Amino acid sequence: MADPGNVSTTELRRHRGAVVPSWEATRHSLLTRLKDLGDHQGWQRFSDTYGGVIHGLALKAGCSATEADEVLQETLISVAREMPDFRYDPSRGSFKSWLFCVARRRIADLFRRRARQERNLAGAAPEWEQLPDPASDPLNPVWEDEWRQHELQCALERVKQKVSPGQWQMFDLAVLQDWPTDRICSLLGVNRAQIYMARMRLNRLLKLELGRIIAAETAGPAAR
Amino acid sequence: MRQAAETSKFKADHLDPDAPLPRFTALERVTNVAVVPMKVSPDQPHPATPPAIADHELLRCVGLGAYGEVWLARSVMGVPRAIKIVWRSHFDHARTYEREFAGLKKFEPLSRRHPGFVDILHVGRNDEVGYFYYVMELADAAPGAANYQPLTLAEFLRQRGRLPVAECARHGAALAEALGFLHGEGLAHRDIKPSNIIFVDGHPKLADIGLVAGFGDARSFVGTDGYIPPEGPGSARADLFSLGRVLYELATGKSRHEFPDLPADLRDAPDLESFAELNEIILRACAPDPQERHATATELRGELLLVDAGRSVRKLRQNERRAVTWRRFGLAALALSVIGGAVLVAERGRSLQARQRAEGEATQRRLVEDQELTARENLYAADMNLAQQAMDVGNYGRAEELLASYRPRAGQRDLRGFEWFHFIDRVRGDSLGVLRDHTEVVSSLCLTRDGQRLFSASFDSTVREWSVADLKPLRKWELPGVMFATCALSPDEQTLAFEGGNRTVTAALDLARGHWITNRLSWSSAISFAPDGQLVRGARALIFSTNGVVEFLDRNLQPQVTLEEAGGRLAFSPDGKLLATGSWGTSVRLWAWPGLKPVGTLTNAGTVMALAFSPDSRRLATVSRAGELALWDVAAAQPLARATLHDGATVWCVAFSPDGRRLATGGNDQAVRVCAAETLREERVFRGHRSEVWSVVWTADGERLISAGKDSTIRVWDATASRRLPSLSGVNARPVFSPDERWFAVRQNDDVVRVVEAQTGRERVRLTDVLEVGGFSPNGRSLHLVAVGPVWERRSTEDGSRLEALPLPPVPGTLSKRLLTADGHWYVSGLQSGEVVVQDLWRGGETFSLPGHQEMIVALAVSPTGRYLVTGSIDRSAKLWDLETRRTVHTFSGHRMAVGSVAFSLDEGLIATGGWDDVVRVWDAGTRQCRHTLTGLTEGVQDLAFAPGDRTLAVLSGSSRLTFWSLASGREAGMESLPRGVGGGWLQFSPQGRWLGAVAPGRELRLLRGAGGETEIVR
Repeated sequence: MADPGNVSTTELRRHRGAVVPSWEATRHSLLTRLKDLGDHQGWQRFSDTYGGVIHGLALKAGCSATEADEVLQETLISVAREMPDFRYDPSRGSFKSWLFCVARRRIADLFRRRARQERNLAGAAPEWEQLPDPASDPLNPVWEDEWRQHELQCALERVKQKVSPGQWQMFDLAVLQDWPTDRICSLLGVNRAQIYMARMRLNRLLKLELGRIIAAETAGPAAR
Repeated sequence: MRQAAETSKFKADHLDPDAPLPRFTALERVTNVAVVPMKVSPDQPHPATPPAIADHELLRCVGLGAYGEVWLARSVMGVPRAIKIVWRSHFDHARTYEREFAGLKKFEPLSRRHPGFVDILHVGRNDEVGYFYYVMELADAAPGAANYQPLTLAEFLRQRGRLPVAECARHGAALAEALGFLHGEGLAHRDIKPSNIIFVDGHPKLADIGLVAGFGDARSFVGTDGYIPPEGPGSARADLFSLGRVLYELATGKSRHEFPDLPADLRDAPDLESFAELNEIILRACAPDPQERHATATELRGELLLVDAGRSVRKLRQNERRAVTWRRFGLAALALSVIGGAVLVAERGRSLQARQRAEGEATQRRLVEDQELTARENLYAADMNLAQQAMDVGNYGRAEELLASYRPRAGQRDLRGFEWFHFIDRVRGDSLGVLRDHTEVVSSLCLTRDGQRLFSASFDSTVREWSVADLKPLRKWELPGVMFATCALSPDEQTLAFEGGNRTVTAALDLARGHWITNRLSWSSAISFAPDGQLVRGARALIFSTNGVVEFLDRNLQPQVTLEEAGGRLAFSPDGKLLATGSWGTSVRLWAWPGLKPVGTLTNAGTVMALAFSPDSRRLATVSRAGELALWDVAAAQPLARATLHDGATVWCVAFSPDGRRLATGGNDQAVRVCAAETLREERVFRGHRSEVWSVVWTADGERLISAGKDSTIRVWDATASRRLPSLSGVNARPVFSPDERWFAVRQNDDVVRVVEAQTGRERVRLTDVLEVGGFSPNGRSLHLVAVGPVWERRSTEDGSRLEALPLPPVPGTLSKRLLTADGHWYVSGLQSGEVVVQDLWRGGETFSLPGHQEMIVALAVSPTGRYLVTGSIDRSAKLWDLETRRTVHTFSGHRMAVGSVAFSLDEGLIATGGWDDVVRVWDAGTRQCRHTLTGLTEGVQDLAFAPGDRTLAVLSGSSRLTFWSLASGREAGMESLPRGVGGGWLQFSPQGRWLGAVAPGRELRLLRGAGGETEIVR
């Protein structure tokens, strides 16, 4: 299983309250569904799941909010175009890198268009656009960061589904909302030790889930 | 009631392994189960024409569901209902359709046995077309929506957001009680969610019972994502899980998908302690393991009641846990068993006591709530009286204030009856439009010469420019800190001049450039421009002077010439030759312009508040503090006419109409009045301002008046036409209204019936030789009536042609009263002998008689469903008859004189009898007990009518007083005086309470507007 690395509290708090779309369906099944171009709901789910990552990448690449919407839209269209021939084969590279390539091309298109519009046809395209290897792409770290946030969000959601509601509330108030322990005790009718235990348990679970998600990402469906 | 967005239902049996895999049209996640398709795609056409539903008119679709739609409907009796139509075509399999129907069959008999369910009133089915439907009671209207939308808990939550803990617990306890009842009958609801919970009279009820099923036969997987427990729906504990999620949404204002996150602003919540208690209940109800949840809905209800009563569930649980612990110890250590047992008993007793206490407190609270409601009902009746009295003395502001406090808030019971809607319509007054952009007193108005643009100056330090044609705002200027008291427009229309009411500032505004020039001068009351464009102001004089001064200012607003002892108010004649001044002294002076030579004095003008020259400059109108309007001949300096207007209240402004034939004035009585300029006879009164009227102008065409005043509004009035509703004279029967309330038919002298448009008074058709009018057909295109012969007929209301006819056998005996029911079913004749003869027109005129009364019949009424008849007689009694069994059901006695009028409430729950003894009695039709006795009437009760909704009983007395009685409190809630006269009177409400047709004893029909009159043309 891949090492999820350390998760900081600050990083976690960024994701509090985010409503994460379903993670129950595997990516594989979702992608299979997308072959049916008329499956609006499937597409909606795809957009809900990955839209944030793509949008975030576009914004950080220097697009305006409207342009980022456009990138997202065009990425979805590109994905749709490739779908009829799509075979999910993890040996050919991870889904993550594939989606990155698609999104990156759309961002490059956008910058090219922008350059044309500025009547600067001769002007050089941004440096990163000409680099062939996605790993050495300057946008790659941005993508990686967006992707990790996305994974974290999903991991949090999975943990929430697995633990009892009471434990989740302890964790939520203590870690994500940073309430003083005394107040949590009086609100939830628990003692300090219980809160401590909940924190420990959920941190462990979170790391486990994150590890699973990352493993699935790199190893493909077989890992599940 | 199902909302379109919240209707996904999952039917696992579509996943029949042998069935072809359906195309995915919509999808949602369901924990633990495979995802299955919804049966309705968003683009599926829904039937544009709904099927005909017996005895109901479908008005508008108010909700779309997965399997059908919900319609707002109106029964033949005008009672609004909700009808759900479920289509066979929306189901793939016949058995799922049948199961939906089976759920309804199970639920229908229960629905009326518990107040926590929406009442199912009727179920119908058509297998040929492929649908079934059920008629339900109508949910409260969601506040704020332009058209009726049911108030569901989802809508309630959207409007209110997070609810206070106590309210949350109260709604939760009510729903848990209903669930407990359902579970007790061996049924599960299976689809509890906010959009399936509706409010009726402010109480939450479980609706959408399409998924109700027995615990055993719930094999399919149905429900809505997020409300379904992990183990699947169909059990009592699964319903509790769903209710727990609903409570979570109510208590936190968050989506059920976010469960169990707590709101970020909880830290500062004032009810944190009680929230902790509620949270504990919710966590338990939503526990993933069903065994950890409450065992029954009753247990959940008990805990919620504890929270509502401010008690601790946590402590109760602790007690219970301790009891369990002690029991274990007791078994392990025999030596301690006696003590353990005692403690066990004590602890159990304590928890039982706590529950009982909570139950007791809940009963107490309900009692208090009932008392509070009674108090509110009483207050309502009193306030309606006050509002009516305020309107009678012209204080519309106070009346509006009183009425506005009864607009229902979300979740609150609506106390309003017909009278409220009628009074709010009166309060609206006669204005065509109201401009509310100014935030303070609008002190002064002026118009450009072409009448196209209006300027308004206000105490809110702004001046606004308006386009008169469409009342659109054009420009706005502001001079911070200055309250503009008066304004005037220069002859070249380039400059506006003002007097500041608070800071003694005189200001001039260059309209083209928006520049201000200001100067501090003495306090002033009037400002104007001389014909040459010089600015003139009327100012208060020195303290020793009895009259004011008039000052002429230069371009920099510096005083140049002063006319002493002139007066604070002034006006230049339109021909530019005269200046009239006057104020605190009682005389008006006339000065020649230019030159300012005194040319005349008008004496005994009173304290002049305003002056206006006629367009031909020959006459001058002055108004005084004492409400006196005087018209003067300028050349002769003599008064032409005098009149006291505005009931002697101060008059602030006066204006000649452009043709010089009429005068408009505005005063402290909140009214704008128009009188003939020759005679000063009052022609029109415009009501609607909520306070003193300070300024009035005519538009250039003389068709509209614009006024402004202390209520911060500018109002536009139609000076040519009246908003007053049509009235008809010579009416000698009760009017009847068409189902869409657009038309009414009324019989006049000479047996002529006129079909008239209610709004305009326009006659549509005239029918002759009519003895009795029954009512309109459901589509409004024909009228049931009895014509001379006697012959029953159905005649077209479009061209008057006869569509059907049935000759009736003559009734033996002398007729004293007759009645044809609205649906043309029964023709009832009351005889002088006391006998009642009934003819069943649906059975070819089959005749039977109902003997029983000792003396002449003087009143007849048939119940809304046509089953019962009530008769009133000179013998001082009223009798209730069953027309099916043709027997007397009950005899109501108690009146000391003849029972001259009778009426049924629309739900047939109440019967009202009015006597010649000036007493009205309201009887409970079920128990036959007298519920209210209404007194204080005079000259006999002429007629009675229950308003739709059965909240109001309208009573017309012989003294032409129309009184509204609030049935909830049995108190008088306002009245209207109708023209007096001699003879009978009749009352009839239109089916939805938009109109009340009242025929006063003088045979004059007046229409009173009720619901629907509330909308106001406000920009």
